[in-house]
Amino acid sequence: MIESRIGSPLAGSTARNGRDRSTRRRSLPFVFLTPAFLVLLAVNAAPIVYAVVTSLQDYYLPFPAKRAFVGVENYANIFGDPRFWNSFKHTLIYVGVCITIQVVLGCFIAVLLSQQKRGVGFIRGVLLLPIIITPIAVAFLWRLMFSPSLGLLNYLLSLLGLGPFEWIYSPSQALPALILVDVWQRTPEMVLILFTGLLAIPDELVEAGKVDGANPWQLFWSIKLPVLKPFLMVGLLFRVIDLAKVFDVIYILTGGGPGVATETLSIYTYTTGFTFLRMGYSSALGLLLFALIVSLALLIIRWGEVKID
Amino acid sequence: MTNARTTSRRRPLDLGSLVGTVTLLIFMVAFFLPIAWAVLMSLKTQVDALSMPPKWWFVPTLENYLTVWQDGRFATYARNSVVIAVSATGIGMILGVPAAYALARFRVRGQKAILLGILSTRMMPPVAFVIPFFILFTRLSLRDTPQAVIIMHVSFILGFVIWMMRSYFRDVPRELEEAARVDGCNDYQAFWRVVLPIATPGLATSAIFAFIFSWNEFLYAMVLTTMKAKTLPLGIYNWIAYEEIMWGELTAAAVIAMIPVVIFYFFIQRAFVRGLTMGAVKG
Repeated sequence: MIESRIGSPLAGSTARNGRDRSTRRRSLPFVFLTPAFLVLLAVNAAPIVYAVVTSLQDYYLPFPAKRAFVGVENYANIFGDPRFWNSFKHTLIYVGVCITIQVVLGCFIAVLLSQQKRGVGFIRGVLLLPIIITPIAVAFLWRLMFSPSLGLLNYLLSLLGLGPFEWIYSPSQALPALILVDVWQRTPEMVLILFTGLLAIPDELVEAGKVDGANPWQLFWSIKLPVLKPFLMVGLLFRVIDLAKVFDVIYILTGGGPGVATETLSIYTYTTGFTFLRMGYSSALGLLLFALIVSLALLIIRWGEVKID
Repeated sequence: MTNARTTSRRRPLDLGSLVGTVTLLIFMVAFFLPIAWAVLMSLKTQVDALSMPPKWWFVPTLENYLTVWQDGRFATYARNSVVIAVSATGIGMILGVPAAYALARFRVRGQKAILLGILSTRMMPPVAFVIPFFILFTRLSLRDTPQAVIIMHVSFILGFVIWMMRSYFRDVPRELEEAARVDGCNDYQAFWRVVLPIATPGLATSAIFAFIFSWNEFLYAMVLTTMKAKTLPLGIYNWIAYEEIMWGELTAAAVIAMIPVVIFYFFIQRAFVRGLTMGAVKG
């Protein structure tokens, strides 16, 4: 049932069969691939190339006539731009803290879930909800939770004698508050992926460990984790990619504020492009973020031995 | 799927598993609470909604939903969302499904490069991706049209469909096509009459995922639309920005936007993990 790789190599026998069957040229691959390929080029590849070209230009949207090639000037300016470093730092903190919590909490909940005898289907259903509901609704739910006057969160914490907190309305608490939202929204993703992996562990293996007197921690660390690793890595890969790209929830909740306290690279790229209308600079920022994501992804693919084919 | 549940033996008093269950329940409450809270809020009158400490027990009202529904704007946004999501999904499926089949079954030159290329576009931050489209559509006077948003949505749906359907087509036993060929089918007939019907669950799953990606999408719709082509997430966003006091109505609108997504997802629950990982992990 489970294939713990990203795709899998075109099965050798399949490929050979496909070729050996007949020596005549078969038209299907060409006919089936060409339309999709052309569209992919037009809507995916071309925009990236165009973004690269734009990033090498000084392009202030209100004055398209003054659009001029400036080489790597935008990139050079970015490295001297404190606001870039500020947003870069926020991106790293946001991605790093979120992913750490999500992996740990994800493993923990997935293991608990795998030990449940009843109600697993129901729990999975509840876990799906935060992932699937419209991001705009997620952002809105949390505005409601964080609200100073109506906020459920402050109310519940006050019952414990804590708070009140200012959450997204305070420069020092806003980033942790956003991390809390993503942990709420996306930890279930990790749980579900890891839960699928835990189902792949043969019972005998766990039983044998128990007979040998392993405690739950040892069971997890030396028996479950090795089997889980490919799943963990695939989850990590997709989670890190998505985390670094997060735009909507942050934009709606804080817009990068208060001030620039929660401005991530995504938000800064947007602000530069669509508030300051500096398309060249914005494209350069976006491509740097792209480069960051690709590097992180390659790192995970290498280090985690994720197979892509 | 049941092996995990039979692992621990039944003991008279299993304290460990009781603690586990209780911990799990606490997490479930934490994940569910904000959603439940919003749904409750949407059923409250303005007075109940604003009361502090929060009212858990109150007379529910559908007034907020009626107000939202009767607001002409909401219907327009909902219609735009449906038109855009259906079109983008349709285009993505028509182009992507055959391509996925070709990549799953035939030796294609540059296959790995194509798949990696598609995966790498998933890593492109949407904010950077939207700029070329914004410039192009502005120049073509295509901004604020459903077509513009549809094209943008195809850009992420198509790659997803190809990865997803490729993983489903590879699950179809190859012998079936061989048998079809023996019966005199050519490649196309084998695909159309034999493979496609078997892959129906995969088709449905991919289409539902694609639909919901489009339905939930916010940034592209925000950048590319101003008035006429606005989608539901944007409509709600504007309400949040300008009418912050109308909590009841806003929650009602948010709940309505969630409903199709929740209904659809429960159909594809089993394939959920597969969709999250573009076919990499088969749940």
